[in-house]
Amino acid sequence: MAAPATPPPANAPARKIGAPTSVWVVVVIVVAAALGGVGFYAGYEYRGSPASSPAAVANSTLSVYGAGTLDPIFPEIANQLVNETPGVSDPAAASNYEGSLDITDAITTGTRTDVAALADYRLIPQLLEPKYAAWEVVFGSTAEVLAYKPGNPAFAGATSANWPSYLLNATASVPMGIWNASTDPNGYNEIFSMMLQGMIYDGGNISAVYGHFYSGAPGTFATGRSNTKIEHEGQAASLLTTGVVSAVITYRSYAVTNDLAYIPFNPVVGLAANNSSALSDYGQLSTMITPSLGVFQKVVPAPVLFAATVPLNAPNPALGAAFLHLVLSPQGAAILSQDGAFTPIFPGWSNDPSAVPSVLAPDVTALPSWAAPFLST
Amino acid sequence: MSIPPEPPRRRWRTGPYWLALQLVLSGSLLLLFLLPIYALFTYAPPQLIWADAGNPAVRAALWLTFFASGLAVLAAVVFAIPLGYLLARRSFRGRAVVESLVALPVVVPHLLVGVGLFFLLIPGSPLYRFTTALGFPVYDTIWGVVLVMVFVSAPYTVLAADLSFRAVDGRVLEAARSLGAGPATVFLTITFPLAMRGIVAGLLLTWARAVSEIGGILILAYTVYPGGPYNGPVTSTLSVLVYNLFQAGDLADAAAVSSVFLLIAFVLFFLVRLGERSGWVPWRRGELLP
Amino acid sequence: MSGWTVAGLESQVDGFRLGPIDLELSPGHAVAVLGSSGAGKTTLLRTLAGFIPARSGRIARDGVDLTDRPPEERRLGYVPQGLGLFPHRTVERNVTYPLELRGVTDALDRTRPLLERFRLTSVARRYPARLSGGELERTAIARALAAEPELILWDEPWQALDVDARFELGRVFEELRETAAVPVVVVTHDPALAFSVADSFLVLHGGKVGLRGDATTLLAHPSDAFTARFVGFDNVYDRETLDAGPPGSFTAWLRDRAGPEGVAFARPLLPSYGAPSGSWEGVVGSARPTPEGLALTVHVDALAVGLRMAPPVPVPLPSVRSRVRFDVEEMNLRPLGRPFAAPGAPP
Repeated sequence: MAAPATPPPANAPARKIGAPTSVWVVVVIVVAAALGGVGFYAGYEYRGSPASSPAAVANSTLSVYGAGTLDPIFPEIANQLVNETPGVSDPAAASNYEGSLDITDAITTGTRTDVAALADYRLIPQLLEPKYAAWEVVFGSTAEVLAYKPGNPAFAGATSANWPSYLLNATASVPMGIWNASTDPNGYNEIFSMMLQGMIYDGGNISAVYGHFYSGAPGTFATGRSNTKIEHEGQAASLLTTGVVSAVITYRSYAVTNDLAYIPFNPVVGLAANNSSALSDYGQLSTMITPSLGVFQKVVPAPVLFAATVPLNAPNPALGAAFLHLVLSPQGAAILSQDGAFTPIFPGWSNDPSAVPSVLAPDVTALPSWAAPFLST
Repeated sequence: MSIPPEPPRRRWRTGPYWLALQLVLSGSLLLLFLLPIYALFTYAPPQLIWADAGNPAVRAALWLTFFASGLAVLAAVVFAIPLGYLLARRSFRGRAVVESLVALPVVVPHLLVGVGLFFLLIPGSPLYRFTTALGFPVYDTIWGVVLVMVFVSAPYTVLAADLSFRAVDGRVLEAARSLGAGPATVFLTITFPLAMRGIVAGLLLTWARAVSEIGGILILAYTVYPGGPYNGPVTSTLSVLVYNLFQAGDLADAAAVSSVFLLIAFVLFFLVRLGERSGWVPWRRGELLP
Repeated sequence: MSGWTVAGLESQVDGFRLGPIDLELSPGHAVAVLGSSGAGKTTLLRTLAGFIPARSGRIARDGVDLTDRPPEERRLGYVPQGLGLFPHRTVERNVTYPLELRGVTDALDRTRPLLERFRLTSVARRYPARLSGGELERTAIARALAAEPELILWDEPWQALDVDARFELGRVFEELRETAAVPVVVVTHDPALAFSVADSFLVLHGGKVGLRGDATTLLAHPSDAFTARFVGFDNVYDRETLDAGPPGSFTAWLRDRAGPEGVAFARPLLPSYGAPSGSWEGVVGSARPTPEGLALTVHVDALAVGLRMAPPVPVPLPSVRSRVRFDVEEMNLRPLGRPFAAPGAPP
């Protein structure tokens, strides 16, 4: 249902709109609404009835703050929304794709955005609720992989079972890139992947792979050895293509969207599994990060699940909900899973399905039981 | 000749308003300079400032930053002063080109400096092989930091040296020559001492510029690993450290570390200014009157 | 003992060509180099000192060819305009500088007599900024002498000095000539210094030697308008001014008797009493009493001519716009620019 333009007030002074003009205004609005409505249907099938298709406010701007690896996937979905909804635009300047913790900082210090999408589904309940958000919906998962420059002969023949030896070989001459665990979730995810690889393939020895690249006993603060180099998040692709680093452990979505070659991990190692044995494996591991100078905090592995919300102070909540509705649709799923970047989850999982906007209600179900405990870790 | 009649007096005096306007405008600018510093100092509680001053990560960053900027100033002394001398005292063709090149770093955004240096030193490039073979690996080492710092700050030394050398009276130098001093002796005993004050001022500016650099360092040496003359722990320069703290949402620590650094920098700055005004430049008063 | 010979010296700076210059200097000899601004006086000194390379010609000291030697090897003392004192060194350290260059360890002791001689002992520890004009000049010359030079080149002494300081400096010159026995080449604008100090004169004009000789030669045969004014002629007219006069006028009369550079004559004398007589008539522009009588400026045919009346000055003074008549003796005219060869070789 397209919102009609506000008709001129009945007691509008002085300026008189001639009868023919006002008739034309109404006609144009009706036609536009009809076309818009048709556009919504044309070529697309939405889950949910047309009556629950979101009503977008005319002349509004969509702003999305998303985790870095969601670029260019989310902009593509936003583009679709813009094409279907007249009067909506999503200028690049209104959106921001950066580290998940940067996004939570921005929101808690007053930045307003229509959609916040983060790489770790624990962050929204822990950092944004209840003041800045009321719910979240998990929309996709990806896994950690070992990414390297396409064509690099050092990794030819590596598999999810034997990649550590290839990595060791390669890093003897060119270090691997690691991320700062204290500022980026991927920084500790890669530590956990190494620990899990050792656990599964080396008879339960957590340090089998981890110890070659990090010093510090597992569970304490991990310092990269000389075959690693801490890099600024977001520089990984540049550093890989120029050969400054030989490989990085990162999200599959990052490797895909940056045209990197990658070796997939065992789902448990890649933090994508959710069976009970995987969960018990996860439960045995931890590491320390320093979120503040001199302050240590323990983190534990959790499955990599991407979640989003419409913050409470969003400028266009309806528009944000419409965007997420598109994300959680077959069309959105197709874009998310292009080249295997993400594994879409739909219906999405929400930690509080009753709190989501009505337009999303049909798109979400409750968070599975195995995923819920991690929310408090 | 008749004096033109006095213009009719305005109904109100503009003098005080003009002065007030000047004060308001100037005051606003000075406030802009002062207030953020004030905010930095007051955001973090003093105990935190004190605690962070003792934090080993902060100390490592401070040490790295001062060490690297010291090396950058040294490089400026060795490389930039001769260039300033050349520009000041020798006329040669293409001088305008050289002067533009010297001014170039000032207009290049600093992030681009880092990116440019990064492209220059991609592993496998001739310069990369050259620097690694010589034992000066650039990426993620103190040499990378120093390289960026020199790029952005040495022009100030060149400029200061140019102006200072230019200001030396050529006739004094000719007198020295005629008394039996060869060109090198004249430079060491006359030209350089006379230009020294201006050059030192330029070096101070160079140091300040080097220490505050972040753009290029983010690209070229985000983390600094021990290597070359630097043997300390793995760390970053102070600006990068504060940047990381801010990014991580650690605002209080970011403010505290900034305060620590500002305190040290101010003290150093005032010490040098004090030295300039008093004692250690006695012949400042000896400038020959025209 | 050092005698200097300069033969055919030529140099060029920024398009200005100097030379050829010939000069012979014997110990104790003082030459004053004169000329209007831009005539090349300072250029000559700097070429002799070695700061401007010589394009041709020869500079020799006691037969040793110095033309290609750098300034620091020529053993001369050069006092530039502005004196070139080192502002960052005290007076005594300015004077000891040449000795320090030679590695002398007791330089301060060695220069003490020099400082005393030039009465600089009381200001020895001061920096140049705190010195008076006379003290500055004395420091400069003391420093030049400390280098034990074989020739002194001095550019424009006296420029900014008051009368007392000039007197002192005159004494300095005396000392120089008596004790140091070093030839001195002085560039100056000031006739008083030139005549009191110099044994011979060199007048430069457009980079070339206009006139060379002793005081008598200079006074008797000024070579150009500058020299004429320098030696005291009041009525000096250059060629351009004379060429503009119509035939039959005073200007034309002067023109017929002028040289390539013009003509000069001293003030003709007007009788104080008696009927005015003379070939030329002019209109009084101004009349100014002086100790030597009355100095009048009279306008004749668009020329301003200076006349004088001997004392006692008539009362009332000749009024402005009154007419006077005067004569100019031909023998008092000096044509300017005619080449003059002094009997015998130049000094």
